[in-house]
Amino acid sequence: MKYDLIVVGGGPGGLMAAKQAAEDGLKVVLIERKKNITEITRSCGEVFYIRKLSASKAGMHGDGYIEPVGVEIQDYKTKFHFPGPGFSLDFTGGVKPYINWIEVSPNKTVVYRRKNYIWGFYYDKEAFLETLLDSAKKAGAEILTGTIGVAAENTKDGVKVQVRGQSGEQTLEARKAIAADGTGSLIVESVGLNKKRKILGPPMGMVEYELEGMEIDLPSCSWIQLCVPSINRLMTIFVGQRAGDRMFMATGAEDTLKQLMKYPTFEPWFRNAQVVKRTAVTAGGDGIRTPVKEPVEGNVFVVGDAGSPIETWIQGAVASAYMAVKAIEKELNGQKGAQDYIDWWQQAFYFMKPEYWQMVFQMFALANSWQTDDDVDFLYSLIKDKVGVPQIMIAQNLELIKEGRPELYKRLKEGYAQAEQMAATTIEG
Amino acid sequence: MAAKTAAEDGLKVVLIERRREFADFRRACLQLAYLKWLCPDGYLEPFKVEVNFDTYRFIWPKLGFSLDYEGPLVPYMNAIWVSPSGYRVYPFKHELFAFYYPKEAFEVGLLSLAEEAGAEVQLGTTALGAENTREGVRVRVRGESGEQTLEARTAVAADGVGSRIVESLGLNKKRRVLERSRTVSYVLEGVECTIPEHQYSWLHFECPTFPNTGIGRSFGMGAWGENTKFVGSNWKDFAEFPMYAPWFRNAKVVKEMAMAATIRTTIREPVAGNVVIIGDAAAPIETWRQGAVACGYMAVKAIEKELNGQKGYLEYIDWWQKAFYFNEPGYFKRVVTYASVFDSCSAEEIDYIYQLFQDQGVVPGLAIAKNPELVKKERPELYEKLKQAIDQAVKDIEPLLATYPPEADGAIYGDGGPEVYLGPWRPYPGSD
Repeated sequence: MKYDLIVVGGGPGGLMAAKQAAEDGLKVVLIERKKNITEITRSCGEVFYIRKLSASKAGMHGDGYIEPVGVEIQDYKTKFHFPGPGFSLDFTGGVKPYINWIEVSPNKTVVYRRKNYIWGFYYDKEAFLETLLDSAKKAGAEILTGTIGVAAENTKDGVKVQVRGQSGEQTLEARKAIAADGTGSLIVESVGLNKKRKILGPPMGMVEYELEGMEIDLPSCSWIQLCVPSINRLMTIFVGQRAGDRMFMATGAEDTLKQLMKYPTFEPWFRNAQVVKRTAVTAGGDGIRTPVKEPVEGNVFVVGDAGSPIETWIQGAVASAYMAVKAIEKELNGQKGAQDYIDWWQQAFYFMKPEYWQMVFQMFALANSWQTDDDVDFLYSLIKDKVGVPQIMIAQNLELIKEGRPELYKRLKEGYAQAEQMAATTIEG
Repeated sequence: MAAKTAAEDGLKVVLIERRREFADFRRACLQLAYLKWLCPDGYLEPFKVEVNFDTYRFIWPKLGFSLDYEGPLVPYMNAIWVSPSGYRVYPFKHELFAFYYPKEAFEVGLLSLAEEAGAEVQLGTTALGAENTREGVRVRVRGESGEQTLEARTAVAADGVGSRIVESLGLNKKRRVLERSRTVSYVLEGVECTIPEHQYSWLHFECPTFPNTGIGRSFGMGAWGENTKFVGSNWKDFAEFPMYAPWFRNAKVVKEMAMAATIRTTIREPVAGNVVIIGDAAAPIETWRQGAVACGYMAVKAIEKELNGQKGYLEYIDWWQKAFYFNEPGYFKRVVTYASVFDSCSAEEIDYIYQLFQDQGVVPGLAIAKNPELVKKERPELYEKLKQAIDQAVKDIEPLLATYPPEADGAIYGDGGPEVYLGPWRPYPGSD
């Protein structure tokens, strides 16, 4: 067999898998759809999250990788530590700390998800991918760009991966394969892993603008989330850091930026702003699904977003790639690695836990309950300047809403009850 | 750090500290951990900060030790130099170059570790002097119950700039005085700064009407948390500038910190008999806290060697002479030229120089002192003025520098020092 390992997808997970496997002496080929592998064409927050992000711990949340990580900084050198799996990655691109996570209502009432401590770092994803790609190439991984991994099929002693490139279709064979082709993975679909997953909702589209010259009158080093139902019903207008003095704004709909630029509260932020880049992403393929519970099917190992409802974060993709390669190496040596990987996956990601889903459905309950911008201003005025997860803080203060906004109270109460039920069945489902 | 390390290594240690309340820090200090060079005052060896999910860690990779830290850690992302009319130059812009970490957390944490390791701590006690004996050292101390003499096999003088231990051992006799200064700094709350990035920034304002503070005619202000600023002694004068007065309308002083210091040439051989001098006590101005901690660790390791009959002190001296830039005369030349380059410049002239550097990541005073020729063609009179100020500053300092041995010149970098002060640590040979 020509290859020990075929890696489908050249994002952080795929590149990490190719790098690690090649460094460990496996014969690896990586398939990537893009011609320029490190060019960022899909929107991404580009955050390395530091703090453990579980709802039960200090009111924080997150949907990605929940094992401890660390960032080591020495002048222009950065090292990302993954003490659980037991590896580190060097990085020389820029990093910028995130100190606050601020949620903002239409009249600019603020609530802090996180306040005054370093909870994460912006890091330049393009530079990060370049570092991984260089290491993978140096270690001897073969890289096929402009090539799509269409499907995989387990065979008796390995796996066949059907790929389509400029010269047409061909089938590659290897002892193992890694599906790192992201949310909506064709490989996951082809090996039947989607059959066990429940569709929770339609795919989620995001448009991201990189802007120069934004003048935001909130503390710098902040991740900002705007909740303006008249523009975007869900809490999905994000503003965060990019290299230099650039910022990004990511949102669910194309015209959000235009509307925000005219909205009296936020218009001053954009007076001297210029869009310098636009990217988009559709997460979830044909729908947002529950996570892959057992991310191994025969000789195919699933890593990163390919096995998640939406995202594992970059750090989760990298960690799962490392763990998948180590599991594969065990298997190739006649040991039981697949079950180790499944066990690790089930405890390393927050979306494998019911409380994550409770938080998500509570967020939807909240977003479906407020009908006007004034509703949000009212709700946020109850938790103004507090630190915590808004949907959880509001759930804890429902009685305060009853008198002032009985209709809103009713909708919220019903929504939260439904959220609890849905959360309880999602992981099992 | 010395007490902690020594006690952890099994030595019997007593720590003498003048403050009655250990955490009541009243000496002016910016309290930064430097990741990149803004100025070359302090420690030259690599230094890392690790941000972990549940704690922070400061790492001295060359020396092979680290310290966990759980207090506040405020990043410094911008260094902003502002001319009299408001032109801004950013030595660092959107670039992490330092962290603020308060003494109330870090030093208090070290004290706890020292005590846990078995060090005896005597607060409210001043060390008056030390005297070498045949087998050790006697240290005279004064506490609430009067004076007494403590005896030990060795002593570490970590009593800062103006150290009484250093004076009592006669080590100041060979040092030349550069300046006697008294600095007062304040902590203010409620400063309404309108510079957008001020929250995580060091701000330096060139003010030609101010008296020279020792580092030029300027006013400095740094972030100490969300709503707290560390400001220089002249903040009230600064607050009278019409441009800046609105910033201070609602500001209030929450802490005052003072420091009286005689700035002297360096103690290049910081060991006298059985006494090892560490940190600011042997420095002209400061080693930074990361440098003081490194000294504390290295001094104890040297002492342990000596107590075991090995040559530890020579190793310590050798390390000290390489790890701090002020051990070579080039450091002083740069400091005095920077401090005096704008001395006779008008506000308009300083504005002009700032405009030359507006898009460059430099400290304008350092950059123009390094290369006054930049203005020669367009402003020949200004060039002459700058040149004269620089030449005079170097001439004035020559007698002091003559006290350094010839081998000190270029001993660290070999070529007279780094081109500019900004940027990554420039390793000296063997420091990697």
